Amino acid sequence: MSGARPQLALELEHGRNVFEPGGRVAGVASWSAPAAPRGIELRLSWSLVGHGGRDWKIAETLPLPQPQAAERRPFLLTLPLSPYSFQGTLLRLTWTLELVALPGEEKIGVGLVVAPGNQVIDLRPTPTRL
Amino acid sequence: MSGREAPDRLTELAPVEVGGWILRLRARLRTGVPRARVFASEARLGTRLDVEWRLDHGARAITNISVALVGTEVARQRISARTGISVVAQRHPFLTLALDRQMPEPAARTSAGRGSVTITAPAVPTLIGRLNEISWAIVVEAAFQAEAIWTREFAVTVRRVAP
Repeated sequence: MSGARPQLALELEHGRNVFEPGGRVAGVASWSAPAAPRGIELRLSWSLVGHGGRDWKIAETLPLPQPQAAERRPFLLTLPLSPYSFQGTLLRLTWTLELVALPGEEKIGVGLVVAPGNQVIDLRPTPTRL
Repeated sequence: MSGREAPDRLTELAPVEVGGWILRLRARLRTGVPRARVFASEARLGTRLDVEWRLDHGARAITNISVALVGTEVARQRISARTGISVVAQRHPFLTLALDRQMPEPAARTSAGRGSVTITAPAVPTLIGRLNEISWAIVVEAAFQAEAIWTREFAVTVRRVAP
């Protein structure tokens, strides 16, 4: 690949980024580069973030084989059943879907919510109503 | 959950051991009172959790015993200093669900009970990271009047909602 960085884009079907655990995420990954990247892949990961740092885990990697220099590639992936997106007092858990070009690891990502009821679980205390 | 199987599909939970290895060894070898045992069914969000407990308190004056399921956020931070690296943990209970509460007779040497609870409030399953975690425990607390005099936690793994 030449020195120019590839242009990456990630679109989710209907712009939807909120899902039930085990749900299916559909979308289109697109890229444009002077030469065909060595590899293109989708990475689904979660982060458990606290004051002292984060725990991070790749839940799934979906390679998009034999990429051309410029392409629009539809994709469909199934989300894991857990962990759930949540917001607590000390911690929060977020999901991210990234499109990654190899070998330079250029990437673009979108945040996802993965939780029962299609909303971030709020563990923070509810304000007392008078 | 770990430990021996008990009747009625309950499993004995292991107490949470805190402190250094000397304190943990002492706690393991300790045969005196108070001494608690807790048995629980599988813990799963949206499903009923059944718990049985027993506390041998001997002659200690105890007026109240409470048993609760507690979910806690734990955030750890590594702090570097010239003397080395230490880890400081912040803990915040996000949900406490009462399981049982008893007032032992003054002459009683042992108390026991059972309770059930369904985790329907906003909650998340157990999640253990290198730095951060969501932990759940059955907490047994013995008090003399308003003052808690003895507390023990028994770790329980809470699983996701059944598919």
